[in-house]
Amino acid sequence: MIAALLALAIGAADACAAVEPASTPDPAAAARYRQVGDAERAAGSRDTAVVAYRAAAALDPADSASRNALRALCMGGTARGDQFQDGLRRMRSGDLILVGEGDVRSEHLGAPSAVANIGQKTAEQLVGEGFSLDAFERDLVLAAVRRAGGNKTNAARLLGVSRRRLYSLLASFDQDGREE
Amino acid sequence: MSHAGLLLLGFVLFAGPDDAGEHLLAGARLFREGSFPEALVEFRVAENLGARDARTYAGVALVKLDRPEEAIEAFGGVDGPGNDAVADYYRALAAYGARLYVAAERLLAAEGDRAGPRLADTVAKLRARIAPALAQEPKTATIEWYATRCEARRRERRPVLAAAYCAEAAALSARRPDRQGRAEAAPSARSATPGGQP
Repeated sequence: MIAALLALAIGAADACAAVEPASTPDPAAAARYRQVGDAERAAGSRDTAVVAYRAAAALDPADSASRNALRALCMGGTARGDQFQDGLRRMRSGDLILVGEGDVRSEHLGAPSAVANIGQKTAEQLVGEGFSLDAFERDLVLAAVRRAGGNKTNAARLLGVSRRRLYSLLASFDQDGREE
Repeated sequence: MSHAGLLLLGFVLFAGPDDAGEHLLAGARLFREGSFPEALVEFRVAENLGARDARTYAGVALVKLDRPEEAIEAFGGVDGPGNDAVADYYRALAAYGARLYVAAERLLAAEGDRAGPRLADTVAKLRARIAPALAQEPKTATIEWYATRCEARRRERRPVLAAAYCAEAAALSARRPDRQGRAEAAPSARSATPGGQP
C-alpha cells in the first residue's frame, strides 16, 4: 500500500491534479496523513501540505476534510497569482513576451518565437511601463525552486534548463543582491 | 552514498514500531530520490506513530527544504555537538540557514574526522564561508537583531528557537571587548530555554 501511495505522490506531475484512490482504502492511515497536512498547512508549507492531503484523500476517498483542504490550497495558489504557473500557462498559450534575440525564456523555456505580448499588451507597451525582464526571470526561477521544494534538479526540469544553467542563474541573482 | 544517506541507513535498525518503520523507510527512499516534501510527510507520519528518532530525519528533510528554523526545532536545538556526526552536520546547516553562525561553527568544529573525509571536505568549505562573518567584532546592531528575534520567537511560543537566538546574541556579545549587549542577551537566553518561563 505504501508503494502505491509513493507512486501516487511521486507520479503526480501536477500537485493539484485529480487524486486517484488507492486500491485499498485505509481511513486510519489517511487520518495520519491528514494530521501531517494540517500541521504543514498551519506552518505555511503549502507544497508539503498538498502532498500529505493528497495521500490522505487517496487512502480515504470519503475524507472530505482533506479534499476540502486540498481544494482550498490549490485554489489559493491560483488566487495568489502563482508566477511560475502563470508563466507556464502563458508559454503554453503562446502568450509570452520575447524581447529579442538572446531572451532567456525563448532560449531556455522552449517558448514559441516571435510572440511579443503578455496578455493584451505588446512588448512596446510593457517596456514603456517599466517591465523588468531581470525581475521576471528571477521570479520565475525562484518560483520553480520553491515549487521543486528546493531541489535544483527538479527545478531545472520544471524550467526546461540544465542544472548548470540554473546554478548559473541563481549565482547571478546572488551577485546582483550583493551589488545592490 | 550521500551524508544524509548514511544517516538514513539507521532506519533499518532503529525504525521503531512496524508501521512507523514502513513510513521511515518510505521517507528514506523518497529523500534519496530528492523528493523532499514527500519524504518529510513520511517522516512526520512516522513521528506521529512514535518512530524513534523520526524527528531528526524530519529535521534533515527540513534542511533540504530550506526551512532552517523548523529544522532546528525538529533537531531540538543547536546545542551540542551530539553523538552523530552526520546529524550534527545537518544541525550545523540548519543553524547556518538561520544565521546562527556561532552555533554552526561550534557544531562544525566538533566534526573533525568523525564522519569521514568526504564530509570533512564539505565541513571545511562551510566553515570557510562562516569565518568572515565571525572574524569581525560583532556590531551592537547585530546582537540586537538576534535578541529581537529571540524575543519574537519566545512570544510565538517557540522556546527552542528563542533559546538558540538568545544564545547566539550572548555568544556574539562575548566577542566584544565591552561585552555590550551581553547583559541584555544573557537573561533572555535563560528565560528562552525550553524549561524557562514562557
